[in-house]
Amino acid sequence: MQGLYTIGKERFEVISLAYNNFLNDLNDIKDGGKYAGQYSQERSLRGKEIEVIYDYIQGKEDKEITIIIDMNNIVFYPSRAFEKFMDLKENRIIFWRVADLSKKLKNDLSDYYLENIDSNGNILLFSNIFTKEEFFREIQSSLADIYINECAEIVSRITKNHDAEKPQESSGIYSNSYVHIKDLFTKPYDYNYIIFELLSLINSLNIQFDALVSTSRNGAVIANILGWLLEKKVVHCTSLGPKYAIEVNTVNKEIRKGKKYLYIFDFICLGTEIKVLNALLDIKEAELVGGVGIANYIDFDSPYAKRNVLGNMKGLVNIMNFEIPYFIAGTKEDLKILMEERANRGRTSKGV
Amino acid sequence: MEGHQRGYESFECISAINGTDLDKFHDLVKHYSKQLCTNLSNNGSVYTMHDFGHHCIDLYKIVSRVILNCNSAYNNGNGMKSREFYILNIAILLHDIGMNKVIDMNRGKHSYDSADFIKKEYNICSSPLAEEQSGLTRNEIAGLRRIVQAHSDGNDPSVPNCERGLNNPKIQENLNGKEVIIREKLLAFILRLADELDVTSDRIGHSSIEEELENAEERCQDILYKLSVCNHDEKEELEKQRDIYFAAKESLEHWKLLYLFQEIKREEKDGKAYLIVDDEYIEQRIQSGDSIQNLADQIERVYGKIKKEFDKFEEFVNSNLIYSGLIGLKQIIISTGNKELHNQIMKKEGIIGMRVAGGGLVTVDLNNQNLDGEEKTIQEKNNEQDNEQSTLLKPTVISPKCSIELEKFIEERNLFQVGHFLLQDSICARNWIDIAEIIETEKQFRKCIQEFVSHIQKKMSEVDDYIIVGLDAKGMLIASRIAFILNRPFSYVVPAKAKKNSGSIDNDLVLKEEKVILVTDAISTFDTVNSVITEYSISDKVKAIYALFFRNSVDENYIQYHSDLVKMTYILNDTFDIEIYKNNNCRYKDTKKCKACNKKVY
Repeated sequence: MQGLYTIGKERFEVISLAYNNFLNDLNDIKDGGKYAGQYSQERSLRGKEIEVIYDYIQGKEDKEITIIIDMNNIVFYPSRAFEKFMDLKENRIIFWRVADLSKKLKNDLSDYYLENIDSNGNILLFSNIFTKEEFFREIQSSLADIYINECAEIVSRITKNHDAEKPQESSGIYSNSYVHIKDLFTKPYDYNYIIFELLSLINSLNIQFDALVSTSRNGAVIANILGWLLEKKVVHCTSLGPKYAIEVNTVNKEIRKGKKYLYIFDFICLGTEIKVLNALLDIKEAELVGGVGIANYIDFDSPYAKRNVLGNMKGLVNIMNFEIPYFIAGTKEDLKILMEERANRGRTSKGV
Repeated sequence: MEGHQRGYESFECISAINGTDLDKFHDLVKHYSKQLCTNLSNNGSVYTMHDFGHHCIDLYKIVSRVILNCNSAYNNGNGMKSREFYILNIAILLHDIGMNKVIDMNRGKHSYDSADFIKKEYNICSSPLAEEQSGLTRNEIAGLRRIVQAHSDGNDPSVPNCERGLNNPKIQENLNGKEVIIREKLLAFILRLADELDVTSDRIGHSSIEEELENAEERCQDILYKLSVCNHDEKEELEKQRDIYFAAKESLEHWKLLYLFQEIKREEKDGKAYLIVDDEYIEQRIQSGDSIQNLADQIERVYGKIKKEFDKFEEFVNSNLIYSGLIGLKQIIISTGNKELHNQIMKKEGIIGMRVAGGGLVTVDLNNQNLDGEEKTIQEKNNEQDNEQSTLLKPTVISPKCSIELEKFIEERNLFQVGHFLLQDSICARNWIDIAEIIETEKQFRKCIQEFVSHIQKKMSEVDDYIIVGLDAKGMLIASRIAFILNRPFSYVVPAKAKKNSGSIDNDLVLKEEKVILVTDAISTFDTVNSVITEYSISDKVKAIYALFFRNSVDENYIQYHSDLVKMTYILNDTFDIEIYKNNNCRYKDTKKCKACNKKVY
């Protein structure tokens, strides 16, 4: 069993059962378990996993921290596995997004202690010392974006300063920062989480595709893992972008007429590589049905993006929506102006 | 044919000589074997046998059945050449002729005397060694002399220590022989090791010498008494005699060492040669009051000398892939059925291999420690040594089953392709494996990844602080999958030729971890791996190298072999040899630059 991954905030801590279950599946693979087809959005918990959570909560010294057990996408757990939690009534526990497991949980923990705190019965409170009023007051608003904020924090940690005097080598534009995706690979704790969120994002798109396609070295690494977990073929078109030309021959045999491709990117700045890729697929009479990636600077929801293929893309983190100090400009002078404005206003600003 | 010459023809190194050279060699044996010494006492010192019937025959046997690889050394294509065997066998025949009393019999410079003898004989028209009779060219005779000279360091003060024996700077790697290249240095190393390995009772000559030696101690006592009571005139003569008997006494100790080992024998399958202790003799010595400790010390003394020579030999042959392919000897192990002796020897440092006769192999390497600096269990050492032995020639194939599956997959999909491929700036390849197809075929790729994952897990089971680094595009993809499954940090190295198309931040390799595992798709020359290690100064950090394929070059001249890297390399398949061409010899180039651009040529 892997250790427990939790997302801690000032007043509460979230345990995603689906993500921890995913990590445990990976751990089984390491020990020689089955490889492909491991990833499924719908997940079944092992009894041991619930014991690990029990031990974790029991061992927590600060009982004032509310533990949010996120049951999203959990479709099964062994009967009566949560019964043991009856010992934890003096803690502050919320079962979140319980969906169809509500009835089963109530059997384990009794109606008396388990309180519905939303109209759908999707959030259950389990505590002698915590009230639903406190939940709504202190936690609910922060819970909505908890996972996307976690991704943003990870991206923030790998965003490094870039020499504003020099254009970025890949795109030729000037920027003050650089999202160092290669650095993410050296942090398995963060990287695994990003992979899981990308899988969830792909599932949420609910689109059919035949293969994944990547255009950068870092994108290839990510696509390679996603393709394996999703059992999809991966086509790597490295160094495709505004500055570098692709050797089309190498891709010719891989891009098939009539097939649908999902683009996997690490970080998208202006999205030129997506347009080049789209043109390439067009030539081959293939289709770019969408794309997902870790972070983007360009707003995929903007009217401009919606008018072209960029509108089909989704990033986990649009860095312009978070306090990530990333500015770009066509010239170094413009970049300096932007950075000075930011310094004067003391808050995040958008680039030009 | 005289009795003492009989039987040498049957050794493989002799029968490998072709045609008239073989007849000439028989003539040389007939002539010179008689001149080799059979009785080697000189001023009281009695040397071990340097004759033909014992020593030379032993060496032919050791070269044929202990040192050389029977499968490759006698191969017409890539093996040793007939002419090389001719010269090596003459060197064996004449290397100790300088010990002949008629010549000089000065042990300290006998290798030089032997070389001088060869020169003189070559210049005598009627001698069987003269050009007309032996067919040897002047160049070959010069090489022969250097080979013979190198078999012993000697103690000639006119030769600096650093230039003695095999360190003689005049020894050539390749000598222009008659129509063929003679690998002079390789032959010199073979002769020297064979000579060192002739330490068994096979070398013991007639008993009269030994009887003479055994009487020496008694006579010595007698002389010492006479010295104490003699007058001045007698003293000088008596002191001379005393010195002779002291020398004889010392010789007896050397002589008796030959009794310790009854045989040296190599297993074909794994290259382990067993130096078999004569347990019956050991028993006799114990019964006559000798201690196990003393016997173990003597064995250590003999083994230590052999080990020193073997280490040099190993280093030399491992520096060249072709040389190492010709050599079958991979390890020398002492074998005894006497458990007490075995245990005593096991305590000694530097003894790297011990076997209890009739039992399993028990290996010891007292200086060896695992990655955490903790001492290893005997079983771990045992496994590692077995692994190490199999990696001396080539990297270790970690799963024979997976190797066969990969081979089959490549054949079925026709992935072994020919054409033209720019391997490095200076080297082109004529064939390659379409590894992308393997990586993209999930079922096959999954099996490969599982093998790597299992092996790394075992190898690094007690190590936390390591990163997995992929080399080149395909190595990057393989490494990223392995790292993800193992939940380890991952990074990659951008290939040199792709760096100009990549941002400098991604071109960097920043490693916080203390230990590194390198992963690549295929290795043939080790140059890429080596250049990465050098560029990022990670030689101390790299603990293992993994690759799908090791592709052995079929041509000896284009490879700079990295034996230290080979030892830590683990692969899935090594059955697809690579045909390498130097870029400047490439027929697909124009006048200035190779036309190859990593594209297939149909």
